[in-house]
Amino acid sequence: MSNDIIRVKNVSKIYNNRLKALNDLSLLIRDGEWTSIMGPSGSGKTTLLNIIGCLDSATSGSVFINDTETTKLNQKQLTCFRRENIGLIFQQYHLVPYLNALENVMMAQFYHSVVNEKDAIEVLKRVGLGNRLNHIPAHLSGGEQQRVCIARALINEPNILLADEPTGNLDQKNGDLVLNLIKELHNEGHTIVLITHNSQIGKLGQRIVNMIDGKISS
Amino acid sequence: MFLRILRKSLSKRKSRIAIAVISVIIGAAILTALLSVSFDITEKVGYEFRKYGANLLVAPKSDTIEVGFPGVDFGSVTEQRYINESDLWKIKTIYWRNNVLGFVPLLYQIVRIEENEIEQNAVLVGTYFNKDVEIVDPYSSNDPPVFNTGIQAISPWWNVKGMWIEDQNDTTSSMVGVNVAEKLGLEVGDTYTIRYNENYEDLLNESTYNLTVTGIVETDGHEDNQIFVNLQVAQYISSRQDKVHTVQVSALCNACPVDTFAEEIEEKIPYAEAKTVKQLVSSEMSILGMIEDMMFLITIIALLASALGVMTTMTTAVIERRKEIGLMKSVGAENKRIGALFISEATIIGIIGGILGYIVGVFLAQFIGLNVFNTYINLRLEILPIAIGISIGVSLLASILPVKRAVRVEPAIVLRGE
Ligand SMILES: Nc1ncnc2c1ncn2[C@@H]1O[C@H](COP(=O)(O)OP(=O)(O)O)[C@@H](O)[C@H]1O
Ligand SMILES: [Mg+2]
Repeated sequence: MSNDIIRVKNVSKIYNNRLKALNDLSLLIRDGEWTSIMGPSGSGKTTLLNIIGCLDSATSGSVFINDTETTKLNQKQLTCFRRENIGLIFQQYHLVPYLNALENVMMAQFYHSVVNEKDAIEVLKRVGLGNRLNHIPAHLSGGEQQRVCIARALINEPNILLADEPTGNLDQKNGDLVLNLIKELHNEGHTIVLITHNSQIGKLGQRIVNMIDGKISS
Repeated sequence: MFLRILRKSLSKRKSRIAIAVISVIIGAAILTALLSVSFDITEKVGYEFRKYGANLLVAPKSDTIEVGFPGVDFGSVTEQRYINESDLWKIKTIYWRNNVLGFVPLLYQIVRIEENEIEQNAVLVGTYFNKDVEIVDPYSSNDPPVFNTGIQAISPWWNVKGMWIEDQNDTTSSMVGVNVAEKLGLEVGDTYTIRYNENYEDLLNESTYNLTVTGIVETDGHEDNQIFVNLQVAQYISSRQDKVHTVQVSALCNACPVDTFAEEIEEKIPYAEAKTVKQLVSSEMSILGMIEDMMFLITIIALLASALGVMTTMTTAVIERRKEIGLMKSVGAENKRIGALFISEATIIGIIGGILGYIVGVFLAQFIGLNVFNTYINLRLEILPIAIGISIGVSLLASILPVKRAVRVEPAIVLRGE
């Protein structure tokens, strides 16, 4: 039991007083596990990831991460907790358009603690972008942008990586590059929660969670 | 890193920022122009008004005879008591001393002149020309020990043919009123003799004194019938050492109470009475007040327009950059750091807008000055910090709502679709 790093207990999320995006959902995720979350559009996958990632709060129920009850934290505490424990990888990358690759990574350092250019270069080299440090996002391919996004998620060394359709906007080749990177990170011990539509990608996980209408179906 | 983010976020969004900066420029330019014009015209209007004469007249207290101002009835002043010349420096030691722009003593003596077969009576007026008055006991130790004053400073509008008397120790020069000069046929450079009775009653013992015409004065006023000399000449001729009849004081007073002014002078020279030329001063003040009110109003409107421009730009920026804000939050930025970024942007917009606005405003001031007031407006550097300060203030105020909005952006949006 103690190596369940994420514990979601009876969580519901209600939007606009009516719409139940999550309906009394419970889920345990073990430390170092790769969990794939699948399900039709609108089934609440992103909502779940938001709540695990401390980006949003649940309407009811509780979430524990590393024995911290995140559903009890206030906004500021959530922000602090998130930057220590969670790395986020987005389908749309969300790079700051006026900052180059290196600066996008350094920005995450800056808002976490202190800027260390060497570390930032190191992590970008690691994702294979050592020669793209000074390119702004507009001058990077989608795959490269996603790898900057991963570098940014890694820079503060979080244990948990949350990815929402990380390859959704990428072609096969770039998608594979990104997935290989995620595999590597998993092998290094990161806990990974990855949302995908693609059952091939879903199978990369040790465990597949299927969602329908805000509930886990299998 | 913060500066790097700030610099890049500003430089990569130049056209957006430019709109905000331009709206600040407009406000700051109008502010600068109107302040410059206001300061300058205030000064010049004050100067214009002073043309009509001094606005305070100091005379001995027991002075029962009408001392018409600015014309003086000279037939009867000889019987009057006097003010001591050695007390005059005290006028410059009142609380409002810095608003005392000048003062001149006047000592009158009737003289007779025979020149070119013509005999003519005239009033000889002893006064100060370019006189250094020693302030024996200054109000504050920071005050200068000497005050330079003279008829030239108080009545700069005099139309003078020839030269003003420049030397305070000159005992042979005179400035002759145009009527006197015409009647006697005197020209600049001529020497003439005045005759006078040392004793008013004694018509037999006439003395004489030679004077040179340095300048001919035309004012269309009573000065045209007078002869002006350094005070010590008139004192010598009339045997009234250290005496003067009246003192004219020129005070520029937009905010200070002229009555207090007068009272203070009376305290300093207890045997004297200071009369204000009330109507003149109050109309001076009311016109200045009107000009300033109007300019204040225009400036407020211009600054409101600037604020609106900045607010629009900042609001647009916050909406456009929602994802960026959400992202910053999702990687760990607290609310105050998001706020700091936008507040810094607003401050920089304010600074740039303020500086450029000042430059534009200086030109605008010239334009207004030349077209409306027919005069050049002096450049005033002290307005620069005012312009920058107010510009920053306006753009910060205008950013309050947009920044609140930025801070409220939820990090969850980064995982949502477009
Ligand atoms: N901010 C929101 N406000 C209102 N409804 C929302 C919001 N976010 C998501 N929803 C709704 O919640 C449901 C679940 O959405 P989501 O978690 O994004 O599903 P998925 O990621 O599986 O496609 C959807 O019906 C969606 O319309
Ligand atoms: Mg989704």
